[in-house]
Amino acid sequence: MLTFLTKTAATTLACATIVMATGTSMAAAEGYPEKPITWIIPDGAGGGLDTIVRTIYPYVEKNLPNDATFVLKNQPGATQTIAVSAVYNADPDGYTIGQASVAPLTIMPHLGRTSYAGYEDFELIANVFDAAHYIVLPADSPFANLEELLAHAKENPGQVRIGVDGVYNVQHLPLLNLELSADVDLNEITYKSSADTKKAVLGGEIEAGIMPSHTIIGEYEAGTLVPIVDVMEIKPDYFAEIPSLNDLGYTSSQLFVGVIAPKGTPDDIQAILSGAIDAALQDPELVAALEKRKIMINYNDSETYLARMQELDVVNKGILTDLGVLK
Amino acid sequence: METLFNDLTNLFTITNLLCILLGTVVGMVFGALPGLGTVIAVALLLPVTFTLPPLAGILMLLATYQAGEYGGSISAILLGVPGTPQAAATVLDGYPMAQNESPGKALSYSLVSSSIGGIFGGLVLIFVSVPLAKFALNFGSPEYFLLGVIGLMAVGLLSGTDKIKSSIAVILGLIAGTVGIDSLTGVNRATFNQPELMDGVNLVAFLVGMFAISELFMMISKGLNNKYVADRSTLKTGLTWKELKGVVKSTTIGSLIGAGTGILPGIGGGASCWFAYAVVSKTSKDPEAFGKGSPEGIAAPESSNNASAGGALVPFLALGIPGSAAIAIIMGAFIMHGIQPGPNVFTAERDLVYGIFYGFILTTIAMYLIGRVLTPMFSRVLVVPNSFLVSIVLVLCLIGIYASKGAFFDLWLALGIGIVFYILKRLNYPVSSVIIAYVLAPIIEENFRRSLTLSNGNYDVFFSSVYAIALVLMIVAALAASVYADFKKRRHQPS
Repeated sequence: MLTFLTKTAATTLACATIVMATGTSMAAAEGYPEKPITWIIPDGAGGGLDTIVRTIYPYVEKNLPNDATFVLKNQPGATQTIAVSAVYNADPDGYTIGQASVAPLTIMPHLGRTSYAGYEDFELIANVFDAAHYIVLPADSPFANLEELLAHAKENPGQVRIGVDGVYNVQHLPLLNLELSADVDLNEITYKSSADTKKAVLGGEIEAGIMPSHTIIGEYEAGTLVPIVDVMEIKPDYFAEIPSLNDLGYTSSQLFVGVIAPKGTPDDIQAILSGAIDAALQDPELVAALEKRKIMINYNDSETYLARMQELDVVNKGILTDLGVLK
Repeated sequence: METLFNDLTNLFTITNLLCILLGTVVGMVFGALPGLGTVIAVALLLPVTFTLPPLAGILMLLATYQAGEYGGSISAILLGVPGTPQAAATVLDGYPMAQNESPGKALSYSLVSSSIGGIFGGLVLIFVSVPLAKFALNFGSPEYFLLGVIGLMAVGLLSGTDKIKSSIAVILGLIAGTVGIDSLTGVNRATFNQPELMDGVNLVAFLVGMFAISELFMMISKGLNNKYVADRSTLKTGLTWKELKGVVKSTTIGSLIGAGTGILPGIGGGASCWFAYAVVSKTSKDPEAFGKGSPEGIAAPESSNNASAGGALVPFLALGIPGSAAIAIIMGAFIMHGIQPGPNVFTAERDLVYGIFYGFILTTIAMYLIGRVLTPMFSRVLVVPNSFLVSIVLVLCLIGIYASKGAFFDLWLALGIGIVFYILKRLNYPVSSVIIAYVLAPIIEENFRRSLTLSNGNYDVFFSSVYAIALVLMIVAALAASVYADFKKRRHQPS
């Protein structure tokens, strides 16, 4: 009897703490998690995003209550929308979460390619990291900076060729936006991947290309590739000197990757997950591992993550509307 | 050249040798399991490497890659199902040789030529990686398009006499190769609103459906109580000196073609084995034997896929451009250890790079030795009666398809493809033409359209470099030769 009372008291106290902490009245988090949580990865085994999640998850487990464990599930394909759809269709009980970049949440829905309407169909748990993509020139380029490149393009419409790794994606949209706002006509050349773009720039097939910052550090140091402008808002410390589009008076885009859950996942469970991710991303061991791989950790709580998503969604929707491809 | 006499004590440590051994065994077994293949084996071992010193970890993955390339041929030869896309061409002669002559011999041809190809790839890596990588940059979109066209012409060389059936097979393959989001405009093509088809027809599902499921239907229709090998003496492995000499030429051609296509990022072993097979079958003294169990037909694709493994490391190490899916994962191991492949790696990580170079040769030696030990065991598979074999192979294939992307859709897709190919096989269509066209379709189409975007629609782009002109001349010469041969044949056989 006494144990029962103590337990009840403890539970009530625990619930009260959580309620106070999150400002909700639900108590679904009691005993959470009781079984393994599925973490859906929108990338194949061994891929870039897959290895990042696999590096992070043990640290998140460590910061969750009740000996929580994750089951990782790889569902690559269709610009991450297969994985994000799987999250959308899962029960909102806190036992399914997913990793997602901004493309499946703020671009693909506007192209009419998803079963869900947009980011608002999900609970945004926490942002995990950001990425920067640069417009990169070869060493022998006649241009020294973005202004020179744009000035040349203005005089020679369609003659400056610039490589991107896909159509209407996180590289293509900021470039199209830049063209609209600078009133120039660049010839966008689509490659299968940033590795192919890099080969094309090095081989002199194109005048410039957009590439993720961490893939060009070696070339930057050797002087064979010159990044001139970050098309994203956030800069990595190793390229801190190089301006972003915002710095030059244009509009930067954003590329951030976080954890989402099905709509209706109880608030207190969301808070537990978000807190565990926050704590994990402060673990010096994990920080060191991610820094070594040039991952820009950028924890955002649910609110900030949502605000950034809303902002980006408006921008992307606007670009797609201007282009006349909005569905 | 002083680099050749680098201190190699770093290389010969117990950790490194054990890692190479482990990688080799895992690679060979995964390569031999249809559908699992090299990429999954490398991905599986990737997390293991994080706790290892960089050189040991990277050598383990390279050993896996190398052994997987050979392992794929084991199931290609024994079961007629390529374990990896790079072993698809090996089925054509390996499978008949195993059934009609000796599975042990077929596997030995494959092992020896794979090892020679691997060593060749390693030597290319050691001696000419930097200049070759710079050379490979000369091959842009127009050149890739022309290479793809040459590959498609190789289909014509391979397929038999029935030109109508051969053309239909090629067109089917090209259609399958265009399914998915058009990467240049973002438009969905023939995806039937299935998100699983947006990235195209899953290659593993395609291969398993085409080779395994259709072959299983064939086995069932031929009678399930057969077994291939009644006489155990044919399981013996090993080649005589004379047999070895017979495949010297095809192994050399295969190695050259493999290393050549390997250094071009994005072409890949899947296409290089067919290039090698086509060239060797056309230049052989005994072209009639191809498709019926020719040793040269095994040696050419097998040496080429292992040589392409070494070749693929060239642009990766020298330029930081991963040329294949397996290399992209191996790049993960570099990045985990904070090493950036690219122009600086030769100076910044000099010991590591030369450790990799010589270690790569070691992985080939390990592959040969372990192959010698495991091959007789593998060939025993054919002693198993078909009724058991069919069910086991089917289960393995289904696991492989699901493991590749985690989508149930792909299982149904493979079944559908299997049924289509069963019908095509019964009607004597050259099914290998379908797979080559399927592999080449995206290379040809994307590079063609990209070239024209680059030139703002001007067709001069296909004559814009010496390499492009040389490739165009090759195409014209090959066409002229075949038209002339046809013409001569008709004059001699008046109807």
